[in-house]
Amino acid sequence: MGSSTNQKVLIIGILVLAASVFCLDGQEKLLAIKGGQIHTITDGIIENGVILIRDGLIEDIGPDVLVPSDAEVLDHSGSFIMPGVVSPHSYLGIPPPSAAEQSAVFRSGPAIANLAHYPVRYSIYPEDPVYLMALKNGLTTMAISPRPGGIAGLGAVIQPGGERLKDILVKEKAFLKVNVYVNTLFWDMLKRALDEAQKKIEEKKKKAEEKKQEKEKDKEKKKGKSEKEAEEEEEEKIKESTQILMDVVEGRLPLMADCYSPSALSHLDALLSGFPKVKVVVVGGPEIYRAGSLLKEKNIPVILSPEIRTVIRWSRAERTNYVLKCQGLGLKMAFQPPGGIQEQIHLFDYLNKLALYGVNKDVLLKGVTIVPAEILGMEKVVGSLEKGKRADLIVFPNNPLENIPVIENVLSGGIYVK
Amino acid sequence: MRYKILRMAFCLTVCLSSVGLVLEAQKGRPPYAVKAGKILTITKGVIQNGIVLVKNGKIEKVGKDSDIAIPAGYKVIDASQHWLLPGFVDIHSHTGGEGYGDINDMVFSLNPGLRILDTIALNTPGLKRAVAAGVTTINHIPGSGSNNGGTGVIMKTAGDDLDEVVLRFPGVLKIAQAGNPERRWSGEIGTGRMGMTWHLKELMLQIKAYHDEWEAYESGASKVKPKKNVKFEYIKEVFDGTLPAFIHVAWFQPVQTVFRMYHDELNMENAVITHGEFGGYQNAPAVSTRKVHFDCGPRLYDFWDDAFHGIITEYAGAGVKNISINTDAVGTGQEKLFLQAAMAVRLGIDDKMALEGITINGARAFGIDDRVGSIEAGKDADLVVWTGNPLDVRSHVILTMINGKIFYEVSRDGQQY
Amino acid sequence: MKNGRWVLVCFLVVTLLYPAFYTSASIFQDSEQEAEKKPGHDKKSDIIVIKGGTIHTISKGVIHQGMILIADGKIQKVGKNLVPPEGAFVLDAKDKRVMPGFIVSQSYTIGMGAPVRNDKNPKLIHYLDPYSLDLRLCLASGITAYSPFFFIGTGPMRKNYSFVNAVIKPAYGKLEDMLIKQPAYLYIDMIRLKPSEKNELRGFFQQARDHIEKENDYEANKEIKKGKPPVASPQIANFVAVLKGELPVRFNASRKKEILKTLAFVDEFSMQAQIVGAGEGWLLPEEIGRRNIATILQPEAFIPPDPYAIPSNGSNIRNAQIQKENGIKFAVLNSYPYIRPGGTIGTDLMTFPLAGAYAIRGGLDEKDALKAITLWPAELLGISHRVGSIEEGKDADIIILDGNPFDYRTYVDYTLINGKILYDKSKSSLFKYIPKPKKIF
Repeated sequence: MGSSTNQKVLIIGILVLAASVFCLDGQEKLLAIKGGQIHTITDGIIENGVILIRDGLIEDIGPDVLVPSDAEVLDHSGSFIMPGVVSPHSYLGIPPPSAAEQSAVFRSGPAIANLAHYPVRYSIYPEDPVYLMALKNGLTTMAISPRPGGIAGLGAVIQPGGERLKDILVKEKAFLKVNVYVNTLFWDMLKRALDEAQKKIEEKKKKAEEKKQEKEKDKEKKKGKSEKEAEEEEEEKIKESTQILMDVVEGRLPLMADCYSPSALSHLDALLSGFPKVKVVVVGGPEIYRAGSLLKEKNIPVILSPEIRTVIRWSRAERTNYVLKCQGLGLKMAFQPPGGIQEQIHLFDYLNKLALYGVNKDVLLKGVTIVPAEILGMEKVVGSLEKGKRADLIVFPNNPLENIPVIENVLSGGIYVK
Repeated sequence: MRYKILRMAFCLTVCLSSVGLVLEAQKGRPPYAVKAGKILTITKGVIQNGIVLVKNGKIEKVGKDSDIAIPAGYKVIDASQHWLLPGFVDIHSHTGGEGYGDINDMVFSLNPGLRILDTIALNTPGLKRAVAAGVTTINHIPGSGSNNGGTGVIMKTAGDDLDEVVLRFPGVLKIAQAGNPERRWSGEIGTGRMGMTWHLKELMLQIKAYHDEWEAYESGASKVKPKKNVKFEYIKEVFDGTLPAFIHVAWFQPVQTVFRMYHDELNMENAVITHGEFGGYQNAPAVSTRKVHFDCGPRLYDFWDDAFHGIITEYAGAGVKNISINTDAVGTGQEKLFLQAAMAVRLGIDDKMALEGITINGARAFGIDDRVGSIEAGKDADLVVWTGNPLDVRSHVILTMINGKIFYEVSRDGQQY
Repeated sequence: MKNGRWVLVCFLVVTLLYPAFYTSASIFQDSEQEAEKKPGHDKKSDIIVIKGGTIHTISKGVIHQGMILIADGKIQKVGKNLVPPEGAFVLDAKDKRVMPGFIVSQSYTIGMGAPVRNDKNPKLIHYLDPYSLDLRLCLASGITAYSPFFFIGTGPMRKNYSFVNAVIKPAYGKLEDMLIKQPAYLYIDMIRLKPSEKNELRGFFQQARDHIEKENDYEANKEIKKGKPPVASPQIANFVAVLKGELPVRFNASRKKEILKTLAFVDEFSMQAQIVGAGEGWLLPEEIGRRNIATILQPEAFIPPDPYAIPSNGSNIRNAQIQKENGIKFAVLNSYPYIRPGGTIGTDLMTFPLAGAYAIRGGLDEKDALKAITLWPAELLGISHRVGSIEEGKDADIIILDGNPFDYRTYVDYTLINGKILYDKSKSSLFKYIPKPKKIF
């Protein structure tokens, strides 16, 4: 694990150096950062601490870390340091479906399109400048989601900064994206897909048991190779989309469900009532707090746009601070600004505003770091400043939630990108 | 043009002579003595076990049965188990004709010469139901398809002939400030709020100039006889305060326009705001300080801030007095006037205020409270016998008398509503 | 006890189908105040006691100063001298009226969107929005069950929609509590049905009748023939249910000629029929009564009389009473059976009991009017074993009113569905700006 990450980091480092004119240095070896106020997220705030970075990973962090003599020391004392932002769900760089695509795939409506086998990585163009722009604004890890369809496809996680796809791609299968529609078409489609997956799982279990018994019976007759081949053949028979849905049903792959309305969430909840193992993440709209009890009961994390949105109901525009409402309900929240790169680069402006309107600052910071990292199953790699984690840092001159947020520096894998 | 003038003149003569004709027709009617268990006179309180004497189409006497001796020759109507009320007055209605098809002429935005009088039809199902529900006086007006739809007529819901039915013509000047005339898209100025206001103001200034010319001539200040303008002939009284300007208006801004333009700038003393919904109630404090009448319906509440706001409750709470309630029939049936009042009670006002809203308040706004709106001696004999509280859906009308003639009686016609 | 057995059977069926139905998570599930904590009430006290007040049980008379015990979403006990168990949550209904929730026998779509265009086989439950404002308005109006149907479209969609209806409880925020029955009836619009479509429909019924004959034949000769039992194609499956009497048929017919057409249809295929509208039903009460057809009336709806008809036709305020005199079972409905805060009031479901009040205006007894908005609609929908009256073993769908339901000043104070207090007027924001109407007369 360690060595492969190191290699990756090395490659990233080199590529970032090559690609970015703003890149300062390529210190692969040892870097010590003296910070004023280090927000580790998981382990409190360290005043006047030091972060020691070796080969793109955090080697040590604390108030009294001994700085080796060969380390290059960067003085950020007085600054506010936090881990790089993990963005849980975005369409950055993914073009909207073309007219041809629309007509080909969605001949009978997007609700019934089952594109479970479609991986979004094919739509990612690493040279797209939006990724570098995002990186410079602190988004060091990004989940990219496929856009349309009832079951939209497999989302991927990237850490931008490379030229080739394999350089930036961290996770190919991060989650299965589902757009929940409130109608019978969607219901039937998803129900059928899940039922099929469930059936296949049961069949597989049965076969495995039978085989076990057979093996025990015929231990003497060993036909190692042919048996293996047979197994492989059998596995190939299962459709790729079903295979992915099997992972979802068994809880190996999270299901990211776009439920703009609370109604959609309640329907998803009803749909998944027979599948207790499914790990759900909800992308919610401004009224999702109405279904708060559903989220709270099952501890489902919800991805919200960090805004104060104007909701129009019965010709009356209501300004709703829905994040505050969700906080009151004790929901687990992750934040993702709406829209494209123009909005994404203003993430901290959004957070700053919410902090001004009474949302807990701790909740806000966790919602852009460790919570999304958990959602993407990367809580051991990114999301906080701990020993052994990737050295993704954002340096602010002062607390971005209390002052105008201006990013001073961003480190991705121990390398300056700004 | 000459033909038009001739026709106008003819109609005018008919209208002017109608008062005499009415009296003639009503003189032949038998006198009645109505004994009632409970008389809601509206203006003079409640009389338990009272008697109302009716003669020549008018109310002769009202009082307790112990005080009044029934003269010989009076036909007695025994309603001693029932309630007696004045006929209801609906000051915003389109039931006088035959439905929606005939009340809008939407080529021009301003039609001061048009008269709703030309659409009146008697004995329509709508009017029959109105009579069966105790509605006896309506203000039948043109629709709100154009900014000025013409002039309305105040009429009774039943009568022997047209002359008897028409209570006053011209009844009102109908204006639609905003909230419907927009659909008459003409391609020129006058489909936005500013444009519509500009059009109306231009018209009003023209009428005012015409009115002032005639006033000067008649008072002797000017000796030049002004030229007659048929368009403005009926409606120049809108600046005397005798002819109400009946203004269809909704939303906050247009309601504001109404009292600012008509009341403050043009000094009109008899502007009536009808509808006034969709947040128009936020103007209620400003309305309460001016001499502007408010007429509510058919919408009775606004749903804002996740809550119901009773429109009459809000206006009354801000100090607006003399609020009337309408049905805007044909949309809501003319027979539902009692229901409108009942629902106004449900939304926060009291029974007394609601009953006044469908009787005397509208009559006062139109200056016809000497004829209709309450049970008082000398007024038109528009009497309705109810089985109980008229606002309660469970009670119904037993008898309706208009101008001293019984037009509906359950025992004779069967229960119609 | 046939009735008791029914209750048991349905209890079992429902428990098997909806395991989540009976697990009440919390008693208070109010709408807007979800975020705020409810004082004096927590998960532990699942038993609710309604104490005092006048209880209209509908089926078993009126109990003054009675008590109702509710647990597990069901009515456990009703009576006068009951002892409330310890720790139960007590709802004081002193000087108030307690009755079963109102049941709307047919409504337009409430709490749901329109079906998407390409949905060839829509099911109503999949379009429900449990967080809709409509549902809160239903609760505030005392409605605890309603039967929406998708509007009849045009063209080939129309016949598919005949079965797209359901009986729904407006349980705010709880999708699993909402569905009672789907479909509840076959809907045939006699007013808009084209002749060709009528023939097509007749074809379906004939196929279904043939199928039933085949089935009977198979049953009779089971041992001789030895084969598989005949299976109905999905297209006619529901029609077979209709002809077997498992599903009622609703004909939308208002004028006399439409009702006569309906009667001809009913005569051809004997079925359990209901007539919606029946505005001129008062002209043919004996014909309707003889065929045992139930009606759903709109007492306040106005149908203009035909000026040339002798005797005069059109709507009649006495319609409900005439139906009653001829032994026809009926339910009443407002003239606009929808609920939305559009500004007008008095003719839609926001004041549902006024439909009954109009029937009283036309001469109906107040007791019968009460049945016509509770028990009888439940019977027409085939759900009277669960709702429609306050009886032991039935669902605890109860409302508490501050006066006579037919009075125009009466508001609903509490609404319970499945034993949960879903609406509490004092805590809801809906009527906070409206002072309590004063009673002068």
